[in-house]
Amino acid sequence: MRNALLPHLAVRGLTGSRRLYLPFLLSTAFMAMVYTVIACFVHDPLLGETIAGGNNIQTLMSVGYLLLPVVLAPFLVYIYSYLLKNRSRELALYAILGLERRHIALVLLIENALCFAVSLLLGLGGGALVYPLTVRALLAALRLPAARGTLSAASLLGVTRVFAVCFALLVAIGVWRAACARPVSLLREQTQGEKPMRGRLPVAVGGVLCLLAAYTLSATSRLAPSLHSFMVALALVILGTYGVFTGVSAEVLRRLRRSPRMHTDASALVVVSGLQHRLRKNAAGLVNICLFGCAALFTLCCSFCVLLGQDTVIARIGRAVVEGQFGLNTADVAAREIEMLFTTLAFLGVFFVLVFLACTALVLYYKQLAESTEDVGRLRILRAVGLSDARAAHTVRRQLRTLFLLPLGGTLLHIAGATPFLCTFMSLLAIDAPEVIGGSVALAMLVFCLFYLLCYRATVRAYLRAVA
Amino acid sequence: MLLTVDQLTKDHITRFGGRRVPALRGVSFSVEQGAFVAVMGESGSGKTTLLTLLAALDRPTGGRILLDGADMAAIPGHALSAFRRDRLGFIFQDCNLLDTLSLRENIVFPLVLAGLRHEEMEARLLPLTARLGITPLLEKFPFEVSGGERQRAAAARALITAPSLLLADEPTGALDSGSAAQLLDMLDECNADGQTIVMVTHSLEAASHAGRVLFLRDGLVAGEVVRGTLSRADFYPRLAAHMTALQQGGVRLA
Repeated sequence: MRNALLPHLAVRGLTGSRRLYLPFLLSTAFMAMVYTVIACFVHDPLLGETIAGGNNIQTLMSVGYLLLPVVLAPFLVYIYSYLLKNRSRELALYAILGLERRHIALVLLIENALCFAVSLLLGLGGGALVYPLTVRALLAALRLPAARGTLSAASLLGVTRVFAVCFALLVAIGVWRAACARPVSLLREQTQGEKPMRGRLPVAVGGVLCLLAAYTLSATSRLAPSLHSFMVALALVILGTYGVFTGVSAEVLRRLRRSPRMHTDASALVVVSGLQHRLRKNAAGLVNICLFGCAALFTLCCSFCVLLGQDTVIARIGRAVVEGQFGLNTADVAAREIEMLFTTLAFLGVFFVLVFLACTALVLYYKQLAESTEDVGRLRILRAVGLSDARAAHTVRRQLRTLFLLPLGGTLLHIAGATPFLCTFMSLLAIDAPEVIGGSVALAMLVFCLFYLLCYRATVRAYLRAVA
Repeated sequence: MLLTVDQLTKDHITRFGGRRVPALRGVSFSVEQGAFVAVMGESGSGKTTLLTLLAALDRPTGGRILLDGADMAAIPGHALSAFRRDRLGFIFQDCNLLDTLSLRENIVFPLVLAGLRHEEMEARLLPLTARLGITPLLEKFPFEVSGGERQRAAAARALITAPSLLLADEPTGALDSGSAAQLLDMLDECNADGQTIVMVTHSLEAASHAGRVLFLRDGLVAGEVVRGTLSRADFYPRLAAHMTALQQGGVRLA
């Protein structure tokens, strides 16, 4: 084996499927950037020593510093498995061409090392640019004198370490998959029919029951607020969403398919059968979009609540002073601390929202890409059978719209269901004005819908380009 | 004359550099109503290009195609798909059934597009599938049935509109010999009922079912053999001899 061949293959592998890898690299770089900013907050001597109360900011940020990898690692694993699945043909070809498993492992290692280097450099660089601006924004929000945030080697090192572990995990997964699979089955992996789902009704009923139980837990959370019941509700929502997206949709589509309309409306027939196929094949993708959307939207709601609610809390302290329950001095200190706490929480929330939104967008994009490559063949057949171009375009739009609205609808419904939980959590922070919470939820939903719509337009454009 | 092809040429333009590569260089022939014509040729001879032009899936560079005396080039773009649906039927090598539809839905799909009533669809569907022996499979999906059954379903989809012209592109290419023989017998039967068929193939076995065989080579018609009153068993060796002569002694037409 000539030494230059394997790196060459690795680079070819990346550039050859750049429609897959470019978004992956950009989003990992983005996440690295956000993580760098959080890490810088944790390690910045400015906050620790110079600014009064700065270590409170650091304590909160370090919670995010510990928590973000917990979100990041499973997400990267999920995306990478998807990438590998799409490249299984290529990997099988390597094996058939005579590359041994250790050579394939080496190719994957080189690929991932390149991805790691590129996304980390972009992330650290972006973080270094954005961090001083973020510090300035936070200080301005807290009405503190402007100061320069400084990057510390410790934070850059911390980010590097976390991403190195993540990418090492990816290499391990790739090597394991390549080692387990036989070339012929790898070649065949991309072309398998989908069987209709069995046990639609139990799954559907189970899913609906899970969701109802989760919403009930949420609605009764004010009586006995606990993180424990929130976790249970979270698990129920995940299960329930999966049940509804697979079971209920399969049942509904099956009934639609039998309706007499399918005998007269060709594009309805294509849309419904296409949806059925999609949901059989990739309900998990839709569920993931919905759940990442929920994570983003719920965090966004919390951030808005904290931002909009701090004035009412401070006003309440003011009233307590008037009623003589507090000394003026204590009240000032308390108001100051609340302001600092809430603003930092909101900033941290926004960081997580950004990461969750990036996740949502990436899963959306990959789903769209996978489907467009499948639909190219289907549309070719439809044209040969006599579907006009205009009708084909109409059909495509209809199908895309439905597939986009499903996760969005799920997300909005879940957040509506989780609003009592939000109220409970916020009441722990003494935010309980209904107009604050209602306004925050409405605002967050609006922002999320706008973002989703933007993603929709971008991915539809990519889809139509791929299909044309 | 049902179909007249007159001095048909088609140049493919390579994606980079824009070099013109002639695929057809002046093909002329005609097909009578009720004929079964096979077009033979090796890969690269222009068979598939010819068929895509006949199917109105692409426009020729030069020459004319007349179906029932009407010039296909005169059909405006927006009416082409309706024209294909109403006048032409296709059988492809790889079936081209939609994997998301059941066989029944696949077969009636052109009728759904044409906006026929449900009763009419059923009235046309059942006799056809009974003849092809796929009635019990109608609720199955393409990946649940064998290659031969898929191809028969594709044939049913092509025939259900009662097209003026049935076009078949290498219809036995992906089938085992038993399924291939069954499909070819089915085409014979359709032809006996008056269906006009143009089939592109490189299988001698398949071509020996036709009444007339055109040999295509380097984008030109290089010969023609008419079956006349010969039995299939006698026609086959004549085709084979003609093809061998063409391949070995044929003048290089470059």
